[in-house]
Amino acid sequence: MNIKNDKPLHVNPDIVFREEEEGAFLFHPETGELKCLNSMGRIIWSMCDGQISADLLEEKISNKYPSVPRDEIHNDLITFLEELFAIGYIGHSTAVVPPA
Amino acid sequence: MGIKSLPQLRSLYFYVSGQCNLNCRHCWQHKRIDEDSMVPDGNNAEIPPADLFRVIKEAKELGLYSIKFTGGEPFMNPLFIDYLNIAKNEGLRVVIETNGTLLEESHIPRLKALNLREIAISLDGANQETHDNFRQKKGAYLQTLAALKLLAKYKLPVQLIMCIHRKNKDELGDLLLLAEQYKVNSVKINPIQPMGRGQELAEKGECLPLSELLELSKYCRENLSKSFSGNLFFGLPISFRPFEEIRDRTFSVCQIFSILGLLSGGELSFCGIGHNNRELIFGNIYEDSLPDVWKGAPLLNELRQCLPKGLKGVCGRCLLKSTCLGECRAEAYERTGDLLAPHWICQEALDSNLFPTTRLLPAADKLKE
Repeated sequence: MNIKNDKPLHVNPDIVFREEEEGAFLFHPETGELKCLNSMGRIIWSMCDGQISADLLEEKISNKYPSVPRDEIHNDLITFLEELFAIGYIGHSTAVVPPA
Repeated sequence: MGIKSLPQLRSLYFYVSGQCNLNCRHCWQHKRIDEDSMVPDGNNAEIPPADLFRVIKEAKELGLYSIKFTGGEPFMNPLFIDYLNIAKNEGLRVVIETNGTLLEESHIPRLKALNLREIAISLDGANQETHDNFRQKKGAYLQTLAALKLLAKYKLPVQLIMCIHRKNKDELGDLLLLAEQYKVNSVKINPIQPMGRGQELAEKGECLPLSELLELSKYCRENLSKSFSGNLFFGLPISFRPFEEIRDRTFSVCQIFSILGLLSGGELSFCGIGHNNRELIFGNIYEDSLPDVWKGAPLLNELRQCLPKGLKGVCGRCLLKSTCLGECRAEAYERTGDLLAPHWICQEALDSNLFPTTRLLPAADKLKE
């Protein structure tokens, strides 16, 4: 199953999220798996509040970093989200998303 | 808990000799070395090269890639060069841990022929008095420097290992200058483990307190490493490393699932811990087939099942437990008789409020509240 870009995203509440100055850790308490997020990953994770979609995330990030090409943001974001989606760290919620 | 797949046996830690020509004040294997040193010369049970060859062949079937020759002092064993030849012929990546005092120019061609990752040499100070006092052997410092000079001359890769304590901490900068002079590739600073004689040093207050170790580690990272052309490592658990080092995995941890200790008498254990604690010996190369031991030794399988989930104390609550696996399990066992006990530095840090809070899960009792 792939990310649906217009569906809201939420983080798996079982995953432990710990912010550090240079990034953040994601820790799976059952498997013990540890992932390291860079600063951008940390921001994206924090924004996945169950209300925001991939499209809206892309919009917000593009507004924040206007010098970065939109295609680059889109590709990096989708790759990142797909990876987390595939392992169950994020999922789709049923909330209604405002248009991007 | 499900059965984990059998890990590959990647590295053999071969404790080549039970004897040593030094008498180091922090040695954690001194009991065995003292016992073996009582045996008259020539009566020690060195592993015949043919048996090492057989063991390596068996281990290669299980994935063996590298061998670490350590001791005691490897050069005390007259068969050491024969062992090196076997490692060379079998194409193994080689690490040698030695005090360097017995290294001679005649050894160099054999060393040059190896697929050598590094020769790790102990040097505990930047002057003769400090090193010789710690190693309790007059002249050891000059012999070690002679070895470093030889290794530099022949461009062999060297790592210097310095055990840091109260009486040598101020020599760290000068030791790095020496390291530059002898063109060593890396320097590793190790806190003294409270094991064997190291426990006595700790009780005498000669070891550095954790707060000082943390400060020194930071000073190395932020200052000394910038002026040193090689790599500078500080041997603290990874829970104290900066985020970038963890993210980029620029650290090394004990690969306990993929190593096997071969003791000088042919016994098999996790590492040299079997020397001190005979109950941790789970095989013998003269009686058991290596694959049978690797696959079936109950102690090995128990550890595979219990690490990292069964780690206790702070290690059980650490976000990094799957990465570091509690660091040195030998030290945990030596100190507590429990392979799953917390690492002493991390536990001490937690108890002193020095453990990084972002890397700690709530205690189990807190989770229930």
